[in-house]
Amino acid sequence: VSTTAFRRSERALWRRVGASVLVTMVDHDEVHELTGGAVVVWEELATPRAIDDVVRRLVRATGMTAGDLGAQVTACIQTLADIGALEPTA
Amino acid sequence: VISGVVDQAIQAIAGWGLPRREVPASVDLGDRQWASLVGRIRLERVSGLAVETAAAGGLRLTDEQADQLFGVHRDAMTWCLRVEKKLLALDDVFREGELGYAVLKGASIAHTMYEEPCLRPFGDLDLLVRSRDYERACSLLERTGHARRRPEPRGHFDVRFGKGSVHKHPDDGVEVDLHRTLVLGPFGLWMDPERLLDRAVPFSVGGRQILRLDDTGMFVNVAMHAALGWEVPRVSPLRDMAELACRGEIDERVLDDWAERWHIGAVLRHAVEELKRALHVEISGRLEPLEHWPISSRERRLLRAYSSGRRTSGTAFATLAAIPSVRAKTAYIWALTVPSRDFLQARASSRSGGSYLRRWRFGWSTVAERAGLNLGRSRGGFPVGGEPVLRVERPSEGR
Repeated sequence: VSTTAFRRSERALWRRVGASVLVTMVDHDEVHELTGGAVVVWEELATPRAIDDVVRRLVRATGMTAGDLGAQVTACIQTLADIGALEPTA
Repeated sequence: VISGVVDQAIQAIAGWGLPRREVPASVDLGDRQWASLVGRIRLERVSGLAVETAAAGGLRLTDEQADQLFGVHRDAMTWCLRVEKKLLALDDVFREGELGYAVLKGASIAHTMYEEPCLRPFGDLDLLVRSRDYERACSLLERTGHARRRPEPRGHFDVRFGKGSVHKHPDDGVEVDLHRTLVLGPFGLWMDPERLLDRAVPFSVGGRQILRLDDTGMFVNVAMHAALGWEVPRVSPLRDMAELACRGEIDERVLDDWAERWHIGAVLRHAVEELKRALHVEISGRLEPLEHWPISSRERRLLRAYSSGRRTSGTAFATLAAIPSVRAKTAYIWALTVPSRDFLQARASSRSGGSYLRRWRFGWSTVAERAGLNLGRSRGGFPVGGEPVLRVERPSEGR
């Protein structure tokens, strides 16, 4: 999974609200609010990237360890993929 | 004091990030001023710019005020997402009906001219269609469950003399402003919206390519909206103009041509003057020719018709100037003075009421005023709610 690249779905509509991001899908009513690390992940995936790559970049930016970040980033990406906001690239 | 400080804050917010003659001082707000400012931020649709202004120190907010501002902005952005979903749903409808259209302002300007779409909240959906498609577009909206807010005064009035109509679906509450031209009145009739649609370009929403006006057309649209929309222009369309002047690719030759051909030079000049006055911005040289555009007394008079206290009747009479034949002028006057019962019924719930008598009284008072007659309003002519008799006070020959 960690080498699979993800990108923002084109069917995701979103807006930044200060430090948060609101995301909704074209064909669903719910609006999800991303905060904290989820916003960072969302911004990282403005360009399609593998989870490993996202983790590597965040380790460089924050000074945290891959061990600390890996599971959180993976869970966040999985959640965003479950709601359809992210999709694996072909 | 409240309005002075609030105006100052709105000016600081609307001009945030633009090249300005002077950077406004940071604004502090008391509770009453803040309450008033929040209302203006909602009304003027500048919550995104307000958040940025506060973050940059241009507004000094308490934690509570900052939370409230974020709440307002979150609500505005949630609504924008709903409007964009509506746009995509209507795009399906119009594509299936093979009906071409272009998005005006709103989502199209937020996504293409602003640094980020969150800086430009919008409340409804404005769509421009060709006049020949307008009635079919109304039918498509009706077939998909939308209710038209107000019927036409008479059949085919909109496509001959009108600007468009407002439609709403009861399930989503999003207003769809269907346009066949940009503004009501003479300036809307003189222009050729087909040219705007011929030059439309795509922008992306939800992975779909949807047409919008090109930058020159968009500039004309927002400038007309700024100049003719309200007596005191709202700051949002003025900010739109500034964004287009800074980021847009305005074709000056086309703009000059349209200004002259469509008689909108005075409108554009007025909008540019208001932009400089209200936001204190230094705009680029490309708009400079508009600042010196000659304004004839007729254009000045027509411009006033949009901004006077009696905007509705003023625009209605000014429209006559743009209707070419006597037959068409007669049809226009007939439709407005003797509209259908459906139209009157729809008006009945509005402040101006919906009876023929009220309509005639109101219309005739304006005609008489323009003809220089004294209707004796202050001398018992027809006080509101009084005897519905039209009396014209003139000195009798015998006196």
